[in-house]
Amino acid sequence: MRSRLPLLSGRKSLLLFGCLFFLLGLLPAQTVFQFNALGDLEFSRAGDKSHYYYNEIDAEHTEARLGISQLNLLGKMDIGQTWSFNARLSLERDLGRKLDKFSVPQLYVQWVSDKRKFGLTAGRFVNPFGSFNEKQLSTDRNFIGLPLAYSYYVNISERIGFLPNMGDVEKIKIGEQVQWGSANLYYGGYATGAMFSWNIKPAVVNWKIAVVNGAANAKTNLTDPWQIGLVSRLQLRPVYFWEQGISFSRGAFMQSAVLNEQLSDLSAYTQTVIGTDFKLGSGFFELSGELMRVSYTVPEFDKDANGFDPGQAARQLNNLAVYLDLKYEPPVLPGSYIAYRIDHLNFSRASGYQDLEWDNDVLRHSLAIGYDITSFLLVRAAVSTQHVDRKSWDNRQRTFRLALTAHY
Amino acid sequence: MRSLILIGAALLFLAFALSPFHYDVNVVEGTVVSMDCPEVWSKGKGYNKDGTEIMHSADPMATPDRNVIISFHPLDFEPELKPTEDAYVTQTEQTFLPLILPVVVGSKVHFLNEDEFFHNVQSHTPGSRFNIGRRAPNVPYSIKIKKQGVINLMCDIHSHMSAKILSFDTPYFCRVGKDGTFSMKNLPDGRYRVEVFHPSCDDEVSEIEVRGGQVFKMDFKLNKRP
Repeated sequence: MRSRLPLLSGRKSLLLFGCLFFLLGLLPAQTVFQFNALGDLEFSRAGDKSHYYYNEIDAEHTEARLGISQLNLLGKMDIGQTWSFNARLSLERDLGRKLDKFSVPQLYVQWVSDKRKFGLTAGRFVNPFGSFNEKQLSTDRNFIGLPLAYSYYVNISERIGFLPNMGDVEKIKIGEQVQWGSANLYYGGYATGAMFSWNIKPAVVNWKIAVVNGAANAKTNLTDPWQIGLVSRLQLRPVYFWEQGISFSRGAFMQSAVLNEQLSDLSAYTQTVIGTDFKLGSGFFELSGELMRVSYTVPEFDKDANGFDPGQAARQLNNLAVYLDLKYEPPVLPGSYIAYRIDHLNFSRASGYQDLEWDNDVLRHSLAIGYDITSFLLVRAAVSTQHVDRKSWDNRQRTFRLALTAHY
Repeated sequence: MRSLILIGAALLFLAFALSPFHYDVNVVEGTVVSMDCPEVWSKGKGYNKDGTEIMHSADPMATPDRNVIISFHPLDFEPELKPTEDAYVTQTEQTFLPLILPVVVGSKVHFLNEDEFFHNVQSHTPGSRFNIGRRAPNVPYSIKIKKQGVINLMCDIHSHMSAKILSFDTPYFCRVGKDGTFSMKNLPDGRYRVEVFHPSCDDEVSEIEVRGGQVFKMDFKLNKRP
């Protein structure tokens, strides 16, 4: 996800990356390097009610723009037959403008047994939750491949918990950062910890379980205090044209902040997600979708006292999210696709706030076309429109994107 | 009676000698040694889009050394081109087998998915673009290769899968054996441009003239592709 923050500062990350490669390069033979580089050039346009967390185009930057949106460098080093070291360096734009957000979202060591029956991964890796868990690369971002509620924020911050209406009307500063709530509905794309994978029946039944540093919605590595989370995914292929995934995630997500000093046990506030996703294919068609239920246990913010009341019972907030994708690859134009997505987010009422829905429902339609100019050059265009909180369709929520992705 | 037999034999000899199809057939033998070339061949990071663990076939035909092709291109005559028969590329354990398939231009290549899940075959090579969509297991799908040259294949579902078709304007080509030797038989008299293709080494090009139905020797040393 674009909203994640660096694991380390840019210079330190680069230094660490270089040192690790150097040290591992001293190991015996059979060391193979693989590099991928990706670059996106994007022209985008959005309505004046656009919001970066809604649709990745910030309201202050809705004019037409042309620029590189992302650069990636991926490294994989095989050490013998069973060990490998993997890293991804990423340079992304911040709020859709400057290309100055350096991060190392992926840095892990992996061991796989003979015939890849079992695997152990330690470090920072792709969060195994949901259908998006293998799609973090720009080449897969054919718009229709994006995860559910991409860039949509939820009115819960990993630093200050739940504040009514925070996402819509209130801006609370923590340090120099304005808190708009969490940028991710259910996962941050990457997680830090250890993962065990088991190919129970190769290509038919696959299971992953990971102990990670916090809930799936955490954008950063949670260290103040350290938090813990559990993520698991079972992937099934009952028949060759049908894939089904079942995912579970539970973890704590709160971090220390001025506003929640009164709370003694931040690990009591958790996010729980249960989801299932499917994919059906036939010839040049593909139908896929995902359904999730997300529950938060959050402290209640007392506006009058301007703080959280530790004496109050924790509140429960729930939401449902669903999307459906239809993709078609016209055989008359090899390398092209046309795709449509509908996605919907539904938020429950906040317990304790009688007439308050804790975040806005969203219904969004997206249409995308793409064409592989060559095997390393993809051009794609997408339009989307949405209405929020059951209000009427609004031109100011529309977006248009034209992107050229080059990858090696 | 005896003279009749003699006359008949003489006529047969003359017919054979004057036949346009008469030629001496030659053999070129030799070895190919690859120097420091990668022993595995996979492109990209290899993320499995379907969420399953990545597989790689242990079949020898998935290794670069079993995918070295030598082709002989006549410089003195136009060879008769017949489509290559039984030109199959299978998709087994998320690996194209073979990695390199040589065919005569105009041949039909049959793609066969031998895994228990969907595969796709696409080519973005100019002049030979195609996409066969998602293909069910064990149902072959054929594509006629109309373009001469190298045609790059990929699977849109498993991005680490790639292979090549070498579409030749000559029927004279062979695959180097696992011991690094080759034997190209039935080469008519004449001069040839000889091309050696290795998946992860630099291509090698040279010339040879063969005449008189003899056995000729050629050895190649290939260097790692920069």
